[in-house]
Amino acid sequence: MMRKKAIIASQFNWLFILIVGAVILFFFVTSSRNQEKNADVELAVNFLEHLSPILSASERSPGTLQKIEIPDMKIELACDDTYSKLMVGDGYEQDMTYNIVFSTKQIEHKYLYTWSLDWNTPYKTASFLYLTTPSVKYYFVNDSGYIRELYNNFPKNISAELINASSSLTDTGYQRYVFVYYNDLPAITINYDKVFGVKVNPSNDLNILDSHGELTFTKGNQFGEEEKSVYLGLPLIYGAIFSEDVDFYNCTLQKAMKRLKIANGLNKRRIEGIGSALPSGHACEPLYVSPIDYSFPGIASNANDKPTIDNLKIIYEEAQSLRRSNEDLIRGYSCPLIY
Amino acid sequence: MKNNKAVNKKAQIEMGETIAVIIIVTIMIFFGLAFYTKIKTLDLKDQTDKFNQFDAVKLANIVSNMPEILCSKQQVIDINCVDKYKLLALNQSIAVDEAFFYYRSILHNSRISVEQLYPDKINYSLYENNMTANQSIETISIPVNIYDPITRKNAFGVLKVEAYS
Repeated sequence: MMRKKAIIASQFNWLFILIVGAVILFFFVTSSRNQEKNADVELAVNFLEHLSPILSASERSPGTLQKIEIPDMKIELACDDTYSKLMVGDGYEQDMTYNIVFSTKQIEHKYLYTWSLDWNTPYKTASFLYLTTPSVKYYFVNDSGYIRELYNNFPKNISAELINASSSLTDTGYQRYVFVYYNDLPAITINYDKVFGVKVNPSNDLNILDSHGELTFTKGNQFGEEEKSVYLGLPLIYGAIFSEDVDFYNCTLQKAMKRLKIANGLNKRRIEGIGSALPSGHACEPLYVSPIDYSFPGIASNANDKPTIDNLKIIYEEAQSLRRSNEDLIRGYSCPLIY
Repeated sequence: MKNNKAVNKKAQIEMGETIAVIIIVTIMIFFGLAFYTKIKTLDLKDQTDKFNQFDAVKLANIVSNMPEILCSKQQVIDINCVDKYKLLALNQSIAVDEAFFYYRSILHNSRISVEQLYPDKINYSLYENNMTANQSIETISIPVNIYDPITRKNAFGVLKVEAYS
């Protein structure tokens, strides 16, 4: 009887040690896991806290290239009709609805390049931000003056090369190759999954690159898969060059057009306000009539989410008309400017 | 019989000790968990405050760089200067649905205004949206010049960004 009780007590002790041990072990494992997860989130948050002002500073200094060292974590960009965000690691995301960013969907490299250009129509509508990494190689096919112009304005520190259409290219270890061309592509022996082409076709009626035109996004075997889109101004051509694909470009273009519509409405209201605040019969007053009655409404009615080449043609022409009106305001009467 | 009783008593004492140990260890674990939870809650609150401040700074950064309100001369933007007529135009535009929804997706729950302090006190309300019963407000004030393009005179004021959370 006594022996039986001792055995039970001993078993009970062992069971107790086992349960308490398991509870303590579980507690420490859980807390260390949480700690690890928190550390990842904290790293992501700290990184975003640093990245956010860098991106803003980059937007404020158009034409300046910045090289940023980034932590070893995945950065993703998402763009849809209503919402854009930048996701870092698995822990944190930043709303990018206001920022107009052209980039690949994923950024995985030790360094990040940021570059920006102002999009003027002709007033400043937005600053476009371009993101890329040293793992992307840009080839500009020297088959026309347009492409040379694009290459000359491209930041020099980003891996880019002006090549002839007769060149023969092989894989040199980059993750992505972007070809910018007007007519022909060179012969390449690179895996077509890594290759992406942007064919630039400025409008025939002007023959100016920095106007409006058509873009053809090519990819796949022998660049056989083609999708078309449109552009208005050089900053959007660069947008296409830095974009992941036609969908990403179109989504960002849609954001840009939305902003154009809003900015156009604001500028029109501003000029109407100035016009009505001027004393009656003021010499400046007639100079605002054409912009208010034609140019601003012309831009507004063509700034669609999915613009056609005809829409962009009208916007370009009205923007030129606003530019001329603004110059008249400076030249003639020292009136308040339109922009 | 007497021996049996003594053994029984010893076993009872051992059992009592074991139960006491269980109770003490359970209490210690309970206190440990409570302490840990409390620390975590405080940490979480700190993090939330930090996020709110971070969001307010981001918002202030967006607003203070908006070409929609900044002074410009032929595409050259003048930082720290807001155009009086752009403020009025933004205020009118935001009253229209399309512009309001556009800015709501950017400015979220916040109040944006420009207070002219000198020479006259004028308040330009630009945007207000407070959908939630606000628990806290992070306010950031940025000194700005308010430029009148007709009189070509500058006034002094502050751009006030109040982020509700």
